[in-house]
Amino acid sequence: MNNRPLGAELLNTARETLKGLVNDLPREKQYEALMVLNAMAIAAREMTNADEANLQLEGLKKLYETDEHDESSLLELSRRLARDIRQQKFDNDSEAYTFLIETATRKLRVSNPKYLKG
Amino acid sequence: MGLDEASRGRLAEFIAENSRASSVTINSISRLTGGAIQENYSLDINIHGGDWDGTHTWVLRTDAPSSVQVSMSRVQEFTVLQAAYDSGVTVPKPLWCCDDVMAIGRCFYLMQRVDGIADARTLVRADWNDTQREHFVQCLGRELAMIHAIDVSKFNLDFLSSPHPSPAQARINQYRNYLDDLPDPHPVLEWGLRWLEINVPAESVTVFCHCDYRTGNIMVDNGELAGILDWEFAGLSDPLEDIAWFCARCWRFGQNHYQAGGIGQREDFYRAYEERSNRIIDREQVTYWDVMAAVRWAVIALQQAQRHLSGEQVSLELALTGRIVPEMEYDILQMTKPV
Repeated sequence: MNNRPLGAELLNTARETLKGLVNDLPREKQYEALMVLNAMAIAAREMTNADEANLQLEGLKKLYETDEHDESSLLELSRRLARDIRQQKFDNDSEAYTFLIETATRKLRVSNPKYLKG
Repeated sequence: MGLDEASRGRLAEFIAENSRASSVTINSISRLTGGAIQENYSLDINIHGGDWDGTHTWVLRTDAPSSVQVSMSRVQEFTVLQAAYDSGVTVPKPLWCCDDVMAIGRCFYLMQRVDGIADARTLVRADWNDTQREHFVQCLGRELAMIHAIDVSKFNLDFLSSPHPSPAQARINQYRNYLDDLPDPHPVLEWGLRWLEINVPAESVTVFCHCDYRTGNIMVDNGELAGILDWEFAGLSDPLEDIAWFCARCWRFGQNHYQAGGIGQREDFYRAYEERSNRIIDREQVTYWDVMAAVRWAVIALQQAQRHLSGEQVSLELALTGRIVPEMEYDILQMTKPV
């Protein structure tokens, strides 16, 4: 374990510092600084949600009812799901839908949590 | 601009020849912002004699040096702009097109410059009252009806191919092809595309469409429409595609309560469109095209992120575009729940 502040904490503190500088920048540079702030916020949230890949893998294994010896990777199973959906194997399937909406919602909480408030 | 003295001279000659001027002086050329695939330059020129005697500010539009062929050629775009202009659509007046690459090294065309603001974020945050909002989205509704009334057979628009077997299925096939070119799988977009395939409208009309009619491509001057820009994606499609694209959440730039482009109410936009086009907008079918709009923007966002990831164009803006995809994925899933 690294010493605190950890990566996400550092990013958040760095963001606060940068926020204080934005208004001192020329107008045409402010948009770029706001993009940097946004990128840092996403990265910080992602670091505190580090088990996303595992959650997706578990969800896909459950959907495909694979046994504990299955060593398919997340990429392989995602590819399989994408292909199967196109090949009409999940039409109107509520279990696949639940997996997709839960994953999309978690991803959105990382990339833009405000969006979920409408 | 990357124009050497010789090219500048040839550009002046081209203008002189087409305007029947005795001489043309190019005072300045400056690059305008926006456009990764095409480049726009503002030209300040003096024309002596001929049809355009006087001082002018024009726009030169050309391909970016490294551009890949993803949309129509400049010659085709010029033809489309001319068709729109001749049909009474509010666009910058097109002047002349030069398909001889010997002139400045790339194909280009010239058009008059229109004043105003196109920046979407500035526009949706402008201080409009309710009457101004209503007036403006009605104006955009009528304008879109005029675009959809462009008579393809009257102009040389044969290069626009009819969508096959239907506008919706043609788009589904196109977006699947785009997804197949990306390295990672995208199950939510596949879900959206499959839903669109299951629900393809039984009947549809095919008309001339702008195919990128949205806040950001609309020039506004003092609260009035000054010009519809960026015709490079124009083609034949279902008119509802343009209508849904204009109203898509991603083009409201945070002003979500103004469903018509972040500016006004959907119904005001619809009504003005209906009055001008004499066509009733099937509200239920717009919902279908709302899903298509979200899928389209998600696919484009992935392509943009890929340009960054591949190293072709390293850019924080492109990188961040990749992270807005969950927004469209979420919207797609909200609209396509299993029954």
